[in-house]
Amino acid sequence: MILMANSSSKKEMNPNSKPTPIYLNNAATSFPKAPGLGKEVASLMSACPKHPGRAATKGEDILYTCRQEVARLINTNNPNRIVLCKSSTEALNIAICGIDLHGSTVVTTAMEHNSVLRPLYRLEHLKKISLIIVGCTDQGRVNEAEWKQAIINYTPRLVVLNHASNVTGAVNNAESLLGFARKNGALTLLDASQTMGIITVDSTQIPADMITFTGHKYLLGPTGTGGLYVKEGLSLEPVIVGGTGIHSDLKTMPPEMPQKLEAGTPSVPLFGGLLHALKWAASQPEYHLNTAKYLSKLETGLKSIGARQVNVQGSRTLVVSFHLPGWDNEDISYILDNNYSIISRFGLHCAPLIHRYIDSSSKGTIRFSLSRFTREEEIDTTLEAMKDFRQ
Amino acid sequence: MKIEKITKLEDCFDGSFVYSYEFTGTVDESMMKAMAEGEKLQYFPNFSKPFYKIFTRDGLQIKGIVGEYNIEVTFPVTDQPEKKKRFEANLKLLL
Repeated sequence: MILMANSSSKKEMNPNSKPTPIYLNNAATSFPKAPGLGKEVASLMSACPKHPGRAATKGEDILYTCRQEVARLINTNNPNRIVLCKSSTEALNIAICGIDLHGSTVVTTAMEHNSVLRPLYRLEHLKKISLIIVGCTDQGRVNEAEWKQAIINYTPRLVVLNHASNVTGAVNNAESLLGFARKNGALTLLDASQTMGIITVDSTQIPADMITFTGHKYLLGPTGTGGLYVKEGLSLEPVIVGGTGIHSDLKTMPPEMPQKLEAGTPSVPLFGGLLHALKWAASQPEYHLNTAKYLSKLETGLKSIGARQVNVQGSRTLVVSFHLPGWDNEDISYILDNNYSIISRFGLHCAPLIHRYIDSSSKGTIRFSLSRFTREEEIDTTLEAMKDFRQ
Repeated sequence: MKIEKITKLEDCFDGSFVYSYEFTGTVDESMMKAMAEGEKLQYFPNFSKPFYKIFTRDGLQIKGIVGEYNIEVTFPVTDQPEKKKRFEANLKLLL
Protein backbone atom coordinates (compact mmCIF):
# COMPACT_ATOMS: atom_id res chain seq x y z
CA MET A 1 0.00 0.00 0.00
CA ILE A 2 1.33 3.43 -0.88
CA LEU A 3 0.28 6.34 1.31
CA MET A 4 0.81 9.67 -0.32
CA ALA A 5 1.53 12.65 1.85
CA ASN A 6 2.72 16.18 1.23
CA SER A 7 1.83 15.93 -2.44
CA SER A 8 2.58 19.51 -3.41
CA SER A 9 5.13 20.11 -6.15
CA LYS A 10 8.83 19.53 -5.60
CA LYS A 11 11.08 22.41 -4.87
CA GLU A 12 13.38 23.56 -7.64
CA MET A 13 16.79 22.47 -6.45
CA ASN A 14 19.66 20.50 -7.82
CA PRO A 15 19.19 17.15 -6.05
CA ASN A 16 22.91 16.44 -6.10
CA SER A 17 24.05 19.72 -4.66
CA LYS A 18 25.63 19.53 -1.20
CA PRO A 19 25.50 22.96 0.38
CA THR A 20 27.72 23.95 3.26
CA PRO A 21 26.15 22.51 6.41
CA ILE A 22 24.15 24.76 8.67
CA TYR A 23 25.28 23.60 12.06
CA LEU A 24 22.65 23.99 14.79
CA ASN A 25 23.95 21.47 17.29
CA ASN A 26 26.23 23.65 19.36
CA ALA A 27 24.79 22.49 22.68
CA ALA A 28 26.30 19.09 21.86
CA THR A 29 29.59 20.43 20.59
CA SER A 30 30.35 23.73 18.93
CA PHE A 31 31.16 24.23 15.28
CA PRO A 32 33.01 26.11 14.02
CA LYS A 33 35.54 26.31 16.79
CA ALA A 34 37.56 29.40 17.66
CA PRO A 35 39.42 30.62 14.55
CA GLY A 36 42.91 29.15 14.37
CA LEU A 37 42.19 26.35 16.82
CA GLY A 38 43.07 23.51 14.45
CA LYS A 39 46.33 25.14 13.52
CA GLU A 40 47.25 25.69 17.16
CA VAL A 41 46.54 22.07 18.15
CA ALA A 42 48.38 20.73 15.09
CA SER A 43 51.36 22.94 15.89
CA LEU A 44 51.51 21.63 19.45
CA MET A 45 51.11 18.05 18.26
CA SER A 46 54.14 18.39 16.03
CA ALA A 47 56.23 20.39 18.52
CA CYS A 48 58.79 18.82 20.85
CA PRO A 49 56.74 17.72 23.89
CA LYS A 50 57.07 19.55 27.17
CA HIS A 51 55.83 17.99 30.33
CA PRO A 52 55.33 20.87 32.69
CA GLY A 53 56.14 19.90 36.23
CA ARG A 54 57.80 16.70 35.11
CA ALA A 55 61.08 17.86 33.67
CA ALA A 56 63.21 20.97 33.45
CA THR A 57 61.83 22.56 30.27
CA LYS A 58 61.87 26.06 28.94
CA GLY A 59 58.97 27.97 27.51
CA GLU A 60 55.35 28.53 28.39
CA ASP A 61 53.64 26.10 30.75
CA ILE A 62 50.54 25.66 28.64
CA LEU A 63 48.60 23.78 31.29
CA TYR A 64 49.21 26.44 33.90
CA THR A 65 48.37 29.24 31.48
CA CYS A 66 45.17 27.40 30.57
CA ARG A 67 44.28 27.15 34.27
CA GLN A 68 44.98 30.87 34.59
CA GLU A 69 42.61 31.68 31.74
CA VAL A 70 39.85 29.50 33.22
CA ALA A 71 40.45 31.05 36.64
CA ARG A 72 40.16 34.52 35.10
CA LEU A 73 36.92 33.51 33.39
CA ILE A 74 35.27 32.33 36.59
CA ASN A 75 36.89 35.09 38.64
CA THR A 76 39.02 33.15 41.06
CA ASN A 77 42.59 34.08 41.87
CA ASN A 78 44.15 30.65 42.33
CA PRO A 79 44.67 28.75 39.07
CA ASN A 80 45.76 25.69 41.04
CA ARG A 81 42.13 25.15 42.06
CA ILE A 82 41.32 24.41 38.41
CA VAL A 83 41.59 20.69 37.73
CA LEU A 84 41.94 19.92 34.03
CA CYS A 85 39.90 16.92 32.88
CA LYS A 86 39.04 15.33 29.59
CA SER A 87 35.35 16.24 29.86
CA SER A 88 32.69 17.65 32.08
CA THR A 89 31.57 14.08 32.72
CA GLU A 90 34.98 13.23 34.14
CA ALA A 91 34.96 16.41 36.20
CA LEU A 92 31.51 15.59 37.61
CA ASN A 93 32.61 12.09 38.54
CA ILE A 94 35.71 13.46 40.29
CA ALA A 95 33.54 15.93 42.18
CA ILE A 96 30.68 13.60 43.13
CA CYS A 97 32.81 10.59 43.95
CA GLY A 98 35.55 12.63 45.60
CA ILE A 99 33.37 13.59 48.56
CA ASP A 100 32.63 11.19 51.37
CA LEU A 101 28.89 10.85 50.90
CA HIS A 102 28.44 7.58 52.75
CA GLY A 103 25.05 7.49 54.43
CA SER A 104 24.09 10.98 53.33
CA THR A 105 21.50 12.54 51.09
CA VAL A 106 22.17 14.22 47.76
CA VAL A 107 19.66 16.61 46.20
CA THR A 108 19.69 17.19 42.48
CA THR A 109 17.17 18.13 39.80
CA ALA A 110 15.18 16.65 36.94
CA MET A 111 17.03 18.99 34.58
CA GLU A 112 20.28 17.13 34.93
CA HIS A 113 22.25 15.45 32.20
CA ASN A 114 23.16 11.78 32.57
CA SER A 115 26.70 12.93 33.39
CA VAL A 116 25.24 13.93 36.76
CA LEU A 117 22.42 11.42 37.09
CA ARG A 118 24.36 8.26 36.35
CA PRO A 119 27.14 8.81 38.92
CA LEU A 120 24.43 9.59 41.47
CA TYR A 121 22.30 6.58 40.49
CA ARG A 122 25.35 4.40 40.90
CA LEU A 123 26.01 5.69 44.42
CA GLU A 124 22.34 5.18 45.21
CA HIS A 125 22.46 1.64 43.82
CA LEU A 126 25.49 0.92 45.99
CA LYS A 127 23.41 2.17 48.93
CA LYS A 128 25.93 4.90 49.68
CA ILE A 129 23.46 7.77 49.31
CA SER A 130 19.79 8.64 49.31
CA LEU A 131 18.97 10.56 46.19
CA ILE A 132 16.29 13.25 46.00
CA ILE A 133 15.41 14.61 42.58
CA VAL A 134 13.62 17.94 42.52
CA GLY A 135 11.18 18.67 39.69
CA CYS A 136 11.20 21.59 37.31
CA THR A 137 8.84 23.95 35.58
CA ASP A 138 7.40 23.58 32.09
CA GLN A 139 10.28 25.78 30.89
CA GLY A 140 12.81 23.32 32.24
CA ARG A 141 13.91 25.52 35.11
CA VAL A 142 14.21 24.16 38.65
CA ASN A 143 11.10 24.45 40.79
CA GLU A 144 12.57 26.77 43.42
CA ALA A 145 9.95 26.08 46.10
CA GLU A 146 10.44 22.33 45.75
CA TRP A 147 14.23 22.77 45.83
CA LYS A 148 14.10 24.72 49.06
CA GLN A 149 11.65 22.28 50.61
CA ALA A 150 13.90 19.33 49.72
CA ILE A 151 16.88 21.02 51.33
CA ILE A 152 14.93 21.78 54.50
CA ASN A 153 13.43 18.28 54.65
CA TYR A 154 16.51 16.21 53.82
CA THR A 155 19.49 18.38 54.89
CA PRO A 156 21.67 17.06 52.06
CA ARG A 157 25.44 16.73 52.28
CA LEU A 158 25.66 17.68 48.60
CA VAL A 159 23.47 19.42 46.04
CA VAL A 160 24.13 19.23 42.31
CA LEU A 161 22.58 21.88 40.10
CA ASN A 162 22.55 22.33 36.34
CA HIS A 163 23.27 25.97 35.54
CA ALA A 164 21.26 25.67 32.33
CA SER A 165 19.29 22.90 30.72
CA ASN A 166 20.82 21.43 27.59
CA VAL A 167 17.26 20.58 26.47
CA THR A 168 15.44 23.89 26.88
CA GLY A 169 18.20 26.41 27.50
CA ALA A 170 16.53 27.72 30.68
CA VAL A 171 19.11 29.14 33.08
CA ASN A 172 18.69 28.60 36.79
CA ASN A 173 19.19 31.25 39.42
CA ALA A 174 22.31 29.56 40.75
CA GLU A 175 23.06 32.38 43.19
CA SER A 176 19.78 31.91 44.99
CA LEU A 177 19.46 28.11 44.74
CA LEU A 178 23.00 27.27 45.77
CA GLY A 179 23.02 30.07 48.34
CA PHE A 180 20.03 28.50 50.06
CA ALA A 181 21.65 25.06 49.97
CA ARG A 182 24.93 26.32 51.36
CA LYS A 183 23.17 28.25 54.12
CA ASN A 184 21.60 24.96 55.13
CA GLY A 185 24.90 23.13 55.32
CA ALA A 186 25.19 21.49 51.91
CA LEU A 187 28.22 21.36 49.66
CA THR A 188 27.30 22.84 46.32
CA LEU A 189 28.24 21.62 42.84
CA LEU A 190 27.32 23.58 39.73
CA ASP A 191 27.35 21.96 36.30
CA ALA A 192 28.20 24.84 33.98
CA SER A 193 28.65 22.74 30.85
CA GLN A 194 25.94 24.65 28.99
CA THR A 195 26.81 28.12 30.21
CA MET A 196 30.57 28.67 30.32
CA GLY A 197 31.30 30.86 27.33
CA ILE A 198 27.85 32.41 26.95
CA ILE A 199 26.64 33.20 30.48
CA THR A 200 28.80 34.70 33.19
CA VAL A 201 29.90 32.08 35.71
CA ASP A 202 31.46 34.10 38.51
CA SER A 203 32.71 32.06 41.45
CA THR A 204 32.58 35.13 43.69
CA GLN A 205 28.87 35.61 42.95
CA ILE A 206 27.67 32.02 42.69
CA PRO A 207 28.07 30.15 45.99
CA ALA A 208 29.43 27.00 44.39
CA ASP A 209 32.02 24.84 46.15
CA MET A 210 32.69 23.15 42.83
CA ILE A 211 32.02 24.11 39.23
CA THR A 212 32.39 21.78 36.28
CA PHE A 213 32.76 22.84 32.67
CA THR A 214 33.52 21.45 29.26
CA GLY A 215 35.88 22.98 26.74
CA HIS A 216 34.23 21.93 23.51
CA LYS A 217 30.83 23.59 23.73
CA TYR A 218 30.51 27.35 24.11
CA LEU A 219 34.15 27.80 25.07
CA LEU A 220 34.84 26.82 21.42
CA GLY A 221 37.72 24.55 22.32
CA PRO A 222 38.50 20.97 21.33
CA THR A 223 36.67 17.86 22.48
CA GLY A 224 38.67 16.05 25.13
CA THR A 225 38.91 19.12 27.35
CA GLY A 226 37.00 20.15 30.45
CA GLY A 227 37.60 20.84 34.07
CA LEU A 228 36.61 21.29 37.65
CA TYR A 229 36.96 24.27 39.94
CA VAL A 230 37.33 23.32 43.60
CA LYS A 231 36.91 26.06 46.14
CA GLU A 232 39.86 26.89 48.38
CA GLY A 233 39.73 24.79 51.54
CA LEU A 234 37.65 21.95 50.11
CA SER A 235 39.56 18.69 49.84
CA LEU A 236 38.39 15.94 47.50
CA GLU A 237 39.63 12.37 47.52
CA PRO A 238 41.07 11.44 44.12
CA VAL A 239 38.94 9.13 42.01
CA ILE A 240 41.75 8.21 39.62
CA VAL A 241 45.23 7.63 41.01
CA GLY A 242 48.57 7.23 39.30
CA GLY A 243 51.55 9.22 38.10
CA THR A 244 51.68 12.96 38.59
CA GLY A 245 55.32 13.84 38.05
CA ILE A 246 55.74 15.05 41.65
CA HIS A 247 56.24 13.20 44.95
CA SER A 248 56.87 10.01 43.03
CA ASP A 249 58.22 8.41 46.21
CA LEU A 250 54.80 8.57 47.87
CA LYS A 251 52.37 5.67 47.84
CA THR A 252 49.48 8.09 47.70
CA MET A 253 48.58 10.95 45.44
CA PRO A 254 50.40 14.18 46.32
CA PRO A 255 48.39 16.53 48.54
CA GLU A 256 48.96 19.54 46.29
CA MET A 257 46.29 20.82 43.98
CA PRO A 258 45.69 20.30 41.15
CA GLN A 259 48.04 17.29 40.93
CA LYS A 260 46.10 15.48 43.65
CA LEU A 261 43.17 15.12 41.26
CA GLU A 262 45.09 14.87 37.98
CA ALA A 263 46.68 11.46 37.53
CA GLY A 264 48.21 10.60 34.18
CA THR A 265 49.73 12.62 31.36
CA PRO A 266 47.44 15.42 30.24
CA SER A 267 46.88 16.31 26.61
CA VAL A 268 48.98 19.44 26.25
CA PRO A 269 47.96 20.01 22.60
CA LEU A 270 44.26 19.89 23.44
CA PHE A 271 44.56 22.17 26.44
CA GLY A 272 46.74 24.41 24.30
CA GLY A 273 43.79 24.47 21.93
CA LEU A 274 41.43 25.34 24.75
CA LEU A 275 43.80 28.09 25.87
CA HIS A 276 43.83 29.47 22.33
CA ALA A 277 40.00 29.44 22.27
CA LEU A 278 39.75 31.16 25.66
CA LYS A 279 42.13 33.90 24.59
CA TRP A 280 40.29 34.37 21.31
CA ALA A 281 36.91 34.63 23.04
CA ALA A 282 38.30 37.09 25.58
CA SER A 283 39.29 39.34 22.69
CA GLN A 284 35.84 39.06 21.02
CA PRO A 285 33.28 39.54 23.80
CA GLU A 286 30.40 41.12 21.86
CA TYR A 287 27.84 38.86 20.20
CA HIS A 288 24.78 38.54 22.43
CA LEU A 289 22.61 41.04 20.61
CA ASN A 290 22.41 39.06 17.39
CA THR A 291 21.96 35.64 18.90
CA ALA A 292 18.97 36.83 20.97
CA LYS A 293 17.42 38.23 17.80
CA TYR A 294 18.02 34.98 15.91
CA LEU A 295 16.52 32.89 18.70
CA SER A 296 13.41 35.01 18.62
CA LYS A 297 13.16 34.78 14.84
CA LEU A 298 13.58 31.02 14.96
CA GLU A 299 10.88 30.65 17.59
CA THR A 300 8.42 32.87 15.74
CA GLY A 301 9.02 30.98 12.50
CA LEU A 302 8.64 27.58 14.11
CA LYS A 303 5.43 28.66 15.81
CA SER A 304 3.99 29.74 12.44
CA ILE A 305 4.33 26.19 11.08
CA GLY A 306 2.65 24.62 14.11
CA ALA A 307 5.70 23.48 16.05
CA ARG A 308 5.19 22.98 19.77
CA GLN A 309 8.04 24.66 21.56
CA VAL A 310 9.28 24.90 25.07
CA ASN A 311 8.54 28.52 25.74
CA VAL A 312 11.50 29.71 27.80
CA GLN A 313 11.23 33.13 29.42
CA GLY A 314 14.00 35.03 31.15
CA SER A 315 17.63 34.03 31.23
CA ARG A 316 18.45 31.40 28.64
CA THR A 317 21.15 29.91 26.47
CA LEU A 318 21.07 29.57 22.68
CA VAL A 319 18.69 26.62 22.51
CA VAL A 320 15.26 26.12 20.94
CA SER A 321 13.55 22.80 21.66
CA PHE A 322 10.40 21.72 19.87
CA HIS A 323 8.41 18.95 18.26
CA LEU A 324 6.08 19.00 15.32
CA PRO A 325 2.82 17.08 15.69
CA GLY A 326 2.46 14.44 12.97
CA TRP A 327 6.19 13.95 12.57
CA ASP A 328 8.77 11.80 14.32
CA ASN A 329 11.60 13.94 15.63
CA GLU A 330 14.20 11.60 14.20
CA ASP A 331 12.63 11.87 10.73
CA ILE A 332 12.71 15.66 10.82
CA SER A 333 16.35 15.60 11.86
CA TYR A 334 17.13 13.02 9.18
CA ILE A 335 15.40 15.02 6.43
CA LEU A 336 16.99 18.28 7.53
CA ASP A 337 20.40 16.67 7.41
CA ASN A 338 20.04 14.76 4.15
CA ASN A 339 17.94 17.22 2.18
CA TYR A 340 19.07 20.59 3.47
CA SER A 341 22.40 19.95 5.20
CA ILE A 342 21.00 21.34 8.44
CA ILE A 343 22.46 19.63 11.48
CA SER A 344 20.12 19.36 14.47
CA ARG A 345 19.74 16.96 17.37
CA PHE A 346 16.71 14.86 18.31
CA GLY A 347 15.72 12.68 21.24
CA LEU A 348 16.13 12.95 24.98
CA HIS A 349 19.48 14.79 24.74
CA CYS A 350 20.91 12.61 27.55
CA ALA A 351 18.59 14.36 30.02
CA PRO A 352 15.76 11.85 30.37
CA LEU A 353 13.89 13.28 33.37
CA ILE A 354 13.19 16.81 32.16
CA HIS A 355 10.83 15.56 29.45
CA ARG A 356 8.21 14.71 32.09
CA TYR A 357 7.88 18.41 32.83
CA ILE A 358 8.15 20.16 29.48
CA ASP A 359 6.07 20.00 26.29
CA SER A 360 7.96 17.07 24.84
CA SER A 361 6.82 14.26 22.57
CA SER A 362 7.15 10.60 23.57
CA LYS A 363 10.49 10.67 21.79
CA GLY A 364 11.79 13.89 23.25
CA THR A 365 12.36 17.00 21.19
CA ILE A 366 14.28 18.38 18.27
CA ARG A 367 16.86 20.88 19.37
CA PHE A 368 18.35 23.72 17.41
CA SER A 369 21.28 25.23 19.29
CA LEU A 370 23.00 28.31 17.94
CA SER A 371 26.44 29.71 18.49
CA ARG A 372 28.08 33.10 18.25
CA PHE A 373 28.90 32.21 14.64
CA THR A 374 25.30 31.50 13.56
CA ARG A 375 24.25 33.88 10.78
CA GLU A 376 20.80 35.28 10.10
CA GLU A 377 20.65 33.73 6.63
CA GLU A 378 21.18 30.32 8.24
CA ILE A 379 18.11 30.92 10.41
CA ASP A 380 16.16 32.01 7.33
CA THR A 381 17.22 28.91 5.39
CA THR A 382 16.29 26.67 8.31
CA LEU A 383 12.85 28.22 8.59
CA GLU A 384 12.30 27.86 4.83
CA ALA A 385 13.22 24.19 5.13
CA MET A 386 10.88 23.71 8.08
CA LYS A 387 7.97 25.03 6.01
CA ASP A 388 8.25 21.90 3.87
CA PHE A 389 7.12 19.85 6.87
CA ARG A 390 3.70 21.52 6.94
CA GLN A 391 1.00 19.00 6.15
CA MET B 1 24.75 -1.99 -6.92
CA LYS B 2 26.26 -3.42 -3.74
CA ILE B 3 26.22 -2.69 -0.05
CA GLU B 4 29.36 -0.68 0.60
CA LYS B 5 29.16 -0.20 4.36
CA ILE B 6 26.90 -1.10 7.26
CA THR B 7 27.18 1.16 10.30
CA LYS B 8 25.44 0.82 13.66
CA LEU B 9 23.94 4.13 14.69
CA GLU B 10 23.15 5.62 18.08
CA ASP B 11 19.75 5.01 19.57
CA CYS B 12 18.93 6.57 22.92
CA PHE B 13 15.56 4.92 23.44
CA ASP B 14 14.39 1.36 23.77
CA GLY B 15 17.34 -0.71 22.72
CA SER B 16 16.19 -1.06 19.12
CA PHE B 17 18.99 -1.47 16.67
CA VAL B 18 19.48 1.17 14.03
CA TYR B 19 21.83 0.57 11.12
CA SER B 20 22.82 2.68 8.17
CA TYR B 21 23.26 0.80 4.90
CA GLU B 22 25.38 2.61 2.39
CA PHE B 23 25.33 1.50 -1.24
CA THR B 24 27.66 1.92 -4.18
CA GLY B 25 24.79 3.61 -6.06
CA THR B 26 21.77 5.73 -5.24
CA VAL B 27 18.40 4.44 -4.13
CA ASP B 28 15.91 5.49 -6.80
CA GLU B 29 12.12 5.27 -6.77
CA SER B 30 12.04 1.79 -8.28
CA MET B 31 14.39 0.49 -5.60
CA MET B 32 12.26 2.15 -2.95
CA LYS B 33 9.11 0.50 -4.35
CA ALA B 34 10.85 -2.85 -4.50
CA MET B 35 11.78 -2.59 -0.81
CA ALA B 36 8.18 -1.60 -0.03
CA GLU B 37 6.59 -4.44 -2.00
CA GLY B 38 3.81 -5.85 0.17
CA GLU B 39 4.73 -3.49 3.01
CA LYS B 40 3.39 -0.13 4.18
CA LEU B 41 5.04 2.85 2.53
CA GLN B 42 4.88 6.49 3.54
CA TYR B 43 6.08 8.75 0.77
CA PHE B 44 6.70 12.49 1.09
CA PRO B 45 7.42 13.93 -2.34
CA ASN B 46 7.38 17.64 -1.60
CA PHE B 47 10.89 17.88 -0.23
CA SER B 48 13.65 18.78 -2.65
CA LYS B 49 14.39 15.05 -2.66
CA PRO B 50 11.46 12.81 -1.57
CA PHE B 51 11.57 11.15 1.82
CA TYR B 52 10.14 7.67 2.38
CA LYS B 53 9.53 5.37 5.28
CA ILE B 54 8.64 1.70 5.03
CA PHE B 55 7.03 -0.29 7.84
CA THR B 56 7.50 -4.01 7.32
CA ARG B 57 5.47 -6.93 8.68
CA ASP B 58 8.65 -8.03 10.45
CA GLY B 59 8.52 -4.81 12.51
CA LEU B 60 11.37 -3.06 10.69
CA GLN B 61 11.34 0.62 9.80
CA ILE B 62 13.29 1.57 6.71
CA LYS B 63 13.77 5.19 5.83
CA GLY B 64 15.63 7.09 3.20
CA ILE B 65 15.77 9.89 0.70
CA VAL B 66 15.22 9.14 -2.97
CA GLY B 67 18.49 9.73 -4.80
CA GLU B 68 20.72 9.18 -1.76
CA TYR B 69 23.27 6.43 -1.28
CA ASN B 70 22.01 5.18 2.04
CA ILE B 71 19.00 3.97 4.02
CA GLU B 72 18.48 3.71 7.76
CA VAL B 73 16.90 0.59 9.17
CA THR B 74 15.50 0.22 12.69
CA PHE B 75 15.21 -3.38 13.84
CA PRO B 76 12.97 -4.39 16.71
CA VAL B 77 14.50 -5.90 19.83
CA THR B 78 12.74 -9.24 19.39
CA ASP B 79 14.61 -11.66 17.13
CA GLN B 80 16.84 -8.83 15.99
CA PRO B 81 19.75 -10.95 14.65
CA GLU B 82 17.46 -13.20 12.61
CA LYS B 83 15.47 -10.29 11.25
CA LYS B 84 18.63 -8.44 10.31
CA LYS B 85 19.98 -11.49 8.53
CA ARG B 86 16.70 -11.98 6.66
CA PHE B 87 16.52 -8.29 5.71
CA GLU B 88 20.06 -8.29 4.36
CA ALA B 89 19.44 -11.47 2.35
CA ASN B 90 16.31 -9.91 0.80
CA LEU B 91 18.10 -6.64 0.20
CA LYS B 92 20.88 -8.36 -1.72
CA LEU B 93 18.27 -9.88 -4.03
CA LEU B 94 16.98 -6.39 -4.85
CA LEU B 95 20.38 -4.85 -5.59
